[in-house]
Order: sequence, then C-alpha cells, then structure tokens
Amino acid sequence: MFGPLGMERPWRPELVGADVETFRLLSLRRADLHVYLASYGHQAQDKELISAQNHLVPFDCGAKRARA
Amino acid sequence: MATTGRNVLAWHWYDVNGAPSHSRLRTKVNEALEALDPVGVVSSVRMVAVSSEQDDFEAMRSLLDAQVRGALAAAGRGAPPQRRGVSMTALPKPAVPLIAHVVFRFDYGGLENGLVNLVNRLPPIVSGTPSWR
Repeated sequence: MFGPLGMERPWRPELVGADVETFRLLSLRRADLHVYLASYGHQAQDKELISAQNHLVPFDCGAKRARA
Repeated sequence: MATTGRNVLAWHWYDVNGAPSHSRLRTKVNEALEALDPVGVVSSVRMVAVSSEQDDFEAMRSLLDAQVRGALAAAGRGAPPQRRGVSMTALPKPAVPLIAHVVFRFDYGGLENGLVNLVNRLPPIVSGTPSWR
C-alpha cells in the first residue's frame, strides 16, 4: 500500500518563504513515512533555500509537542 | 534526531535543477554554478525530507530506495530535469557583464543585509546602457 493518509505533523522542517510546501504521511508495507517537500520558484532576501532562518528542527518543536 | 522523547529517523537533501546534495555549502555552489551558466536558469530549488519514527536504519533505507524515491520521481518531484546541451562556444557573448560573487558565510551583525544594500545601490545604467547584471 502506498499513498497519502492525512496531514499529521509530528515533525517537519521549517523553511521560511517557500513557494510550495507539501507534507504527506505515506503508508508503506512496513512503516509510515513522512515526506516533506519545500520548493522555491524565486529566491530573494529572507526567501532562500539555504538560509540561517531555515531549521531542520524548529526551535519550538518541543514546545508545540508539550502543549499538544 | 531525537525530539521530545521520540526518535525520528530522517533523511533530507537539497535539489538545484536536478543536482542533489545533502550539503548546504554544495547546494550554494550548485546555485552559483547555475547562475554563472549563460544558458542556465535556477528555476527549481527544493528541499526534500523523509522521516519515520521507526529506528531500523537499514530497513528504512531499503524502503526509501525501493519506493519513496521512485514515487517522487514518478510524481516529477525527484526526477532531475534535463539540462540543455548547448555548447558554450556557440553562444553569443552577453552584452552586459555578469558580476557574481560567491560568499561563504556572513557573521552576526547584519553583514548580509549590508552587502545587499551595497549591491542594490550600484548604478545599473551607465551612459544609457546597462553596465552590469
């Protein structure tokens, strides 16, 4: 089985200013995979793929989980 | 990667016009090379992240190889776009010089913004014609 199941967001990177962001939970035979994709069609100041503002692990990831 | 008590096994990589890399520095270089290419246009840059809360690395890697990359490629998200095979010697010389700087890193204190302001204030037109791009 392979396909999107929903929009649960247990973890996702934080990329500032992405033109398109896609997040999907994919159910495979042995595991569930979260797939995140961020695309930039045009880059500018504060809107870049490689930037100090972007974080693989958002700083408030733990806080969000704690509140949830 | 550990987040609030749960382990997350994650892969991530960058893609610049079909050139993949997991390195931020290499991705910047790829972007610069595309910008310097007279026929290249940096039209597609992206980051892909795949994660799972299962911690069997080898099993997850084989699963990723077998299915996820294929699915992404089939969806057009991971398939490298084909570069145009144009010889640089056959191209006309651009009338306006391209000025490119590769900057490794900016430190704290707004240095990046300062450089952007300097570049943006360079006179774009001298004697009625564009002087740089």
